[in-house]
Amino acid sequence: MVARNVALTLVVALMMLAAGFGVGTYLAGGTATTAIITEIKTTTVVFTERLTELTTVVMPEARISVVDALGREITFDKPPTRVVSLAPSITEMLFALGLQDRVVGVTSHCNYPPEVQQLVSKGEIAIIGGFWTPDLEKIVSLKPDLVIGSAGTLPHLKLKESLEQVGIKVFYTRAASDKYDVYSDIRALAKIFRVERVAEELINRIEADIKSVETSIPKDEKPKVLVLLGPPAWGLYSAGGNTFMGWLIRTAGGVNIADKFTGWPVLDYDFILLHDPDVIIISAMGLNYTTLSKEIGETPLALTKAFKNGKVYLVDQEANDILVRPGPRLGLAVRMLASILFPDIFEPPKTPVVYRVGEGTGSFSSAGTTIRLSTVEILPRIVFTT
Amino acid sequence: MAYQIARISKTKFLLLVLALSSLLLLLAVVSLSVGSSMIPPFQALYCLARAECSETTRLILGLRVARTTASILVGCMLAVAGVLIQGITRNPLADPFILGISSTALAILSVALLVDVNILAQRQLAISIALGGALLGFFMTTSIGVLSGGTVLSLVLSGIAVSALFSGVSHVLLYMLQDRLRHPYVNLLMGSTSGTLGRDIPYLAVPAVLSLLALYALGIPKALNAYLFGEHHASQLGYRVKLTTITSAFIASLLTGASVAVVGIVGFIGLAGPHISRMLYGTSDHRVTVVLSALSGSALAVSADIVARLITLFSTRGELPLGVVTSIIGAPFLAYLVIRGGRS
Amino acid sequence: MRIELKNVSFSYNSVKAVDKVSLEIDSGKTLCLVGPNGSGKTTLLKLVASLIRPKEGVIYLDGKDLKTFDINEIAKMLSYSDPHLPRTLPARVIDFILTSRYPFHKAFQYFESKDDLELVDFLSRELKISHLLDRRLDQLSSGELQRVVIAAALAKKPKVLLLDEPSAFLDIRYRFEVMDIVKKYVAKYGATSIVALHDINIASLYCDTVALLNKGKIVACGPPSDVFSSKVVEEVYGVKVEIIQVGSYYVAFPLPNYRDRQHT
Ligand SMILES: Nc1ncnc2c1ncn2[C@@H]1O[C@H](COP(=O)(O)OP(=O)(O)OP(=O)(O)O)[C@@H](O)[C@H]1O
Ligand SMILES: [Mg+2]
Repeated sequence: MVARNVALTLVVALMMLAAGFGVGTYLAGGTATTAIITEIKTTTVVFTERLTELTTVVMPEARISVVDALGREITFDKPPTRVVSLAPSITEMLFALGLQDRVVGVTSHCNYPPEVQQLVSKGEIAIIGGFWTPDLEKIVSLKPDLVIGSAGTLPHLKLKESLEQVGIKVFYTRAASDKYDVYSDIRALAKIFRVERVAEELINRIEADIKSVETSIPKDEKPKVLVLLGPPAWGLYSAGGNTFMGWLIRTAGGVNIADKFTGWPVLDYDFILLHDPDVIIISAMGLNYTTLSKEIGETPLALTKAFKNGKVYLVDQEANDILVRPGPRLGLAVRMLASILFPDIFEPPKTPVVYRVGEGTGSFSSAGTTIRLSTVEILPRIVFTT
Repeated sequence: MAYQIARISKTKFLLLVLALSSLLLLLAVVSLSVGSSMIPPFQALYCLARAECSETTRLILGLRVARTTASILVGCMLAVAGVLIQGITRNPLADPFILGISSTALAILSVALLVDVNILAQRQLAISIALGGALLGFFMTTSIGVLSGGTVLSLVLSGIAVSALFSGVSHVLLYMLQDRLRHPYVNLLMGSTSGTLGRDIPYLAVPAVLSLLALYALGIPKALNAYLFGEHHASQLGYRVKLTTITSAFIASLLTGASVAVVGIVGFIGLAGPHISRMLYGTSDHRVTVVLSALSGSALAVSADIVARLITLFSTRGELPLGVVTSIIGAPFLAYLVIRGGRS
Repeated sequence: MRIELKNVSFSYNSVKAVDKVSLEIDSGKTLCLVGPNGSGKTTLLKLVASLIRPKEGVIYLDGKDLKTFDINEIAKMLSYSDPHLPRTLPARVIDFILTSRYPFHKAFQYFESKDDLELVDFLSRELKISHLLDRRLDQLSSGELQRVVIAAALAKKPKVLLLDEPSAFLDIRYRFEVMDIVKKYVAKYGATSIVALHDINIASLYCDTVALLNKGKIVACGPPSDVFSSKVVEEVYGVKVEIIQVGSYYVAFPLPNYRDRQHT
């Protein structure tokens, strides 16, 4: 009987422990990731640059060896000629590096530069599915010698084994959390195709772009920013400090109110009201802007400073693409965000589809209308009149 | 003898109601004070009563009142639905989702979103559609069940078939939706009260009140008590077994469907609520377990909600889904009760 | 209450379980149904309990067609005890017996009245189950459960009492006591009871009338001493039955067929 009691107590204790452990790792896990990520920020540059040096000096000309985001060393005898890109950001990098003639397959989401769509409609580039839904058979049927995917996208990682089994090399770009990750990817891709010079020029251009924004950002005024992925009813998904979006906000001179989180945390209104953001940026997901702004006006988001001051922005289509793709339009992303945060200082970028929602949309009475921005500016006074 | 036993039982029932209600009240107050900003309980109550506090505090408290009410209602609804389903199946392992309600709600909502994505930004409409989907699931399950004999077994089997079919369908639909929304995670109906607002409460409260009234008016708890001892026993006591079964299943579906539509799928409460109440009371008299389950389910949901918010404070990941938390706190508690119950 | 069956037949799909049965039982009397396994005893009880409807024939209660009764009237009037209780969810003896009072509750009455509890108290004293009242049903012995089931049947104070094998699992004392209670009840309340029995010994002692069923048909019907002394019993069961007079009782005893051979 005593033995039985002891056993039972043990079992319950173990269960409690498991539950505690689960929660514990969950808590600790997040912190650990942040710690590592901060470190990468400083080391990545050094690491990649040294790598570039190594290849030019030590490696024989004929063989190219690069390390991808998964830490695998991939060797090429000659630069690949048939490449499939699994992500819009990768497609943008390839095109920016002038490699468009090597690309044989892209996703249905790849829409930049406009040349991509032209090549697709001409039939020179095939669509291999969506970003999250790549079609293995279609990829294989294109007989590529290199497939480039993103290490942060699960469906891409799942393709690895199958592609390697049929002898197709797979290279993974980073789940970028800042510009250095993007630079590393650009450099690694450039190395594979031996276009290092083009890459350095591209990176210099981006750097110069970012610098020019950074120097004009007011140092004393840091608006608090809330980013929401999708409409509030979708769930209050935001972007944590270790994401590319988090880095963008920091660089553009804002303070991300969800900075302490990692990944894509779900927030609650309680948190949002407490931090009372000055600017809210909402990814519109292709929804109707009237519906969306009406919804925003009906939620506690309407109680924030941002809403009261008319600083809720819906970003969609191209503007959204620029903000979420860690690619060669990085500089543009920083500039666009800076112009949203500091409209008095920065020229509106030449990018369509940013909307502003403000006071008055909540009640959304008879005259409530959305004005679509067809011009290339964020109009300073777009607007929802009551 | 019988008189004493009945009196002891009644006293026990009242004491348990009292204890659980006080616990619930306590949890509700804690729930009002816990969050991104901690508001001391007394200050919170004072602020709500007299409105003498800062604007922000009042706004935040307003949100928390809505959120707490939502979790209380959801807990109560799922646990009562659990009692009903376990009663009609006479199976202590049955949960309210076995009738295929959640998968049809998910599938119908996905179809609606594929037709018009803008529904995503129209919460009221989305809630109504999901509820419609849940009820559609119920009608499908019962019609297949009735066609195949109308016994509880056929009802459960058709529930399994409907849920298998629709979870498959909803997978495909979500996959399509993923591309459409350009979003990697399509987590529709994932149990969470983080976005629940006061305007959502009627969608929970109305079905809850209607269902509880219907339960009482139709004498469902007594019918289930009779049914506990077999179909023959119930029908020789004048209960129409199939009618009772289907009515109970309908009420359970309405309760579950409404909570799925408003906060998403929250598991475990529907299973644990009835268990906890049976363990506390010692027997499954549905007149008592319905009430006790409602209270313990609410307490469980509110504690889960509090824990979810506390975890957010200390983690870097944002809020955990409510269903995950209910399992984490509910499972060890249930294990304790099972062990204690098994020994006595 | 007088029960009358006229040419009642019932079949489960193709199996003819009850075949053109006609019976009459007067108020205050007990009819015993005997017959081999599968002869249709339980089915006949269910027919009278209105749990299933006859495919042919009519059942009358006090001359009124059973079909015309309201379901609630039947519930108050008639008790059928099914000894096969599902016991997957925990329930106590008292909870079970009290369910029999539900048909008498007022509209919207939630808990039982004092009278209900007093009745349960009385019955549990009679059947000696007072000490079991707050025990869980799955913690009873078979014989204890049998007494609980009978208590639940009597708790309705039925006009028609239908018992399926009430003597099964009972020890020799309770076999008599339970039947005594049933007889006393039937006599006192002018009720009628039909009891399906395997124990012809008990049947011969307690029944006013015995109906012998075989393959759904009544093959013999009458006072116990007549039925059990007839050749039909031996044909139906394939065993010998002897009637012995013990004091003032005539008791039927089944005996194995080979008994005579062993003695010769
Ligand atoms: N639900 C059912 N479905 C099909 N056939 C059934 C069903 N119930 C009983 N039967 C059949 O009907 C006939 C009569 O069954 P019944 O249960 O009335 O017998 P019984 O006299 O009570 O037998 P026992 O002494 O074994 O209890 C049997 O042949 C049996 O196989
Ligand atoms: Mg039988």
